[in-house]
Amino acid sequence: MAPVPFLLLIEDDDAIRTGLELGLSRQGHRVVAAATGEDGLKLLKEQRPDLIVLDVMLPGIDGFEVCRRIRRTDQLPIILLTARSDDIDVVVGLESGADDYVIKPVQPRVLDARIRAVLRRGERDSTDSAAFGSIVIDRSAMTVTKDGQDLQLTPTELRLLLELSRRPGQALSRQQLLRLVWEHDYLGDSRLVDACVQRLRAKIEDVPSSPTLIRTVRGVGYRLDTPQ
Amino acid sequence: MKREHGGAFGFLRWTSLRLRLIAVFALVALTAAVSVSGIAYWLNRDAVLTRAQNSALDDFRDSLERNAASLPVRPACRSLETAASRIGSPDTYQVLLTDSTPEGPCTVTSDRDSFSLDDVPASLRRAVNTRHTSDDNRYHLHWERISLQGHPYLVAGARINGGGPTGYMLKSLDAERKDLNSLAWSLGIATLLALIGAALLAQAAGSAVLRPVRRLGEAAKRLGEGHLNTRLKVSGTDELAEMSRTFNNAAEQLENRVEELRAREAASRRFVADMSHELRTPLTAITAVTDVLEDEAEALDPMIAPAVRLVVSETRRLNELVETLMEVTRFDAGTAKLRVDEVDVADMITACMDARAWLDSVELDAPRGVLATIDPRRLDVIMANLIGNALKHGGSPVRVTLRREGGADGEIVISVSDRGPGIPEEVLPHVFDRFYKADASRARSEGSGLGLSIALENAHIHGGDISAANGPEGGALFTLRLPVRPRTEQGASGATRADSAAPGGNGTTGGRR
Repeated sequence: MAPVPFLLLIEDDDAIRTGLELGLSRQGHRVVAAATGEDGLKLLKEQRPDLIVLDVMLPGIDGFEVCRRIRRTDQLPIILLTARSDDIDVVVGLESGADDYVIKPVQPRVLDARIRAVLRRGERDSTDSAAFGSIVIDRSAMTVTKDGQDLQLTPTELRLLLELSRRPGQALSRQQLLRLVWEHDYLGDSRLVDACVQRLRAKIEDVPSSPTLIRTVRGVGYRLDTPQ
Repeated sequence: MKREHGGAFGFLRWTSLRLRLIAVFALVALTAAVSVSGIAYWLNRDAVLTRAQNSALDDFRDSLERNAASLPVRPACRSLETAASRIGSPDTYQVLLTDSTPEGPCTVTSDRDSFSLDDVPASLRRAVNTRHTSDDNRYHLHWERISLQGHPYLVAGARINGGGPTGYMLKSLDAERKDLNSLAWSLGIATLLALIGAALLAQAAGSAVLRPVRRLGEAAKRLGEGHLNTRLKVSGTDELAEMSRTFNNAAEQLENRVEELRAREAASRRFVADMSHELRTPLTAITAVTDVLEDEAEALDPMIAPAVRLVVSETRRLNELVETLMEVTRFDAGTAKLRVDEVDVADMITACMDARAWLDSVELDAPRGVLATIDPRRLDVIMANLIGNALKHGGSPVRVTLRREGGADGEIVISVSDRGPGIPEEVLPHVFDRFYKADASRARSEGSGLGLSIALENAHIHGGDISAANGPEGGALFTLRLPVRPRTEQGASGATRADSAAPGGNGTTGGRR
């Protein structure tokens, strides 16, 4: 049994913050909450939570900026709280490094499921390793190295790379990847996959704009290749 | 169609106005020209003939008297002949003299071939040989105009008073007739020229009147097409300028009014959008604790538990309503976006029904392998609304069929039919209207009254459509048609694409027809 997940909730509205604290605690999480991005970043350093639930609309520095600042140093999972799914917020949030998003108003049960799915991505599932060009994926240590250098990957990026590396040369559709990595149902947002692939390419490819490892298969999805 | 008809009608109308103008101008010109020419001709004719006639008669009288006086009382026929040829001349007129001579009655002419006594009308001969009692029983000179073999002639006769020969003259009026004919021709040509001039003037006047009228017509058409800033250039102070001014005023008022209405509509839309957005914050807080309440309901006092459950279920309903409202405002504001992905449509429909536990009450006839590039969430919304509507109003069995039509750029056709009472004819045109309830007696139903309207909007944003009808075996039949791929080609890797649903949207073109 995994230890009780420790969450940092950054939300400016008192009622929502209180409500979500109540709901998430009820689902068995330990929650610490902050009302502003600045407070949240301070708490992050002090308390080292497992995951951050982050509201996009914040006074002072907004959710995207908080996200970007966290990503400079940390790879812990971030779930965005956003107003609507087809908003530009989602795209910007995912580009800022968020792992997943939920739409307000959200049921704590749904948020809990997402949180647990994200946290599971960091769990190791086998003990072998694989090499793709200069990239070595060590599944027992859950590390990825490029030319012997450790790469800082978020659990979602790592899980995406693991799922792709498990089926080398085989194209996986966005919906398949959403099920495998995000554990989303059939209405998953394919933008999650695209944004995560972009971030992953930025870290593992030599030239992210002309990828040789993670290839786009038009009309299907993505494929991990061994460079020739 | 209506407009085309109106256009043709308008064309005929102004053409006929032009024709009427030309006809009136021509009529006026014709009347004036004909009366002027007619009067001129008759006056001229009279003057020409009188002058020619008088000079001939005077000459004849003088010549006759002069020559007759030199004749003996009973001249010989020969001397008469000499006298005749002296009096007459082939150039001016022929002369005929008759008298009783010693050799008997003798009649001589200056030109035997063209003049004989037979040519002189009997009435003239009688008049010439009549003594005028009012004038000392003297003979008078008499004349007549006659026509011989189609040529006009003046014939005159006189008897020498105090005994002497009787003389007749015959003068051809051919020269005068020729002059008069050429005058008539000139007048005819002048009349014709006047007519042509009148027609040209009418044309010019018509154009002068009709150009502004046509401009007005074109401006009105543009105004009707929605170009509310259409204005006419006002020049002059005539009735047409007044008409243009009236048009401009009307157009300006219309523009102001439409702007006002648009602003008001935009304000009310913004209000709904802002309001539903504002509702979200308290709803998020409430929703966050509903799970806690629901879990605890079991353990609560039996009096309180139903109240808690009611709060929980109504909160969820409120959530759905606000979400629907926001969706509607997004469509209205044109900010709804299409996020397409290539999916197996049959799988999508199955998953949609599975998520709502409808698999047992719906017959699905959908072959797998029908792929379409669509927004999966929006297809889910459409199918949930169509099937949900069929189950609610028609009842089981609801039948859903999927087929593909057309080639590579064809469309998918999904029909949802039920075995219910069908849709009354008068309701059919309104089934997609917002808040339209087929059964007015039902004060409040489970639905928001927005479901089918949202389904239709979701079909439209794909460039598709939904139609409602009654099936051949009774029951309602809804048919959804969606293009297999959106009208614009998306990027190679991007499954995400913003679609401009707003008229004159933000640069993205296509997607909708």
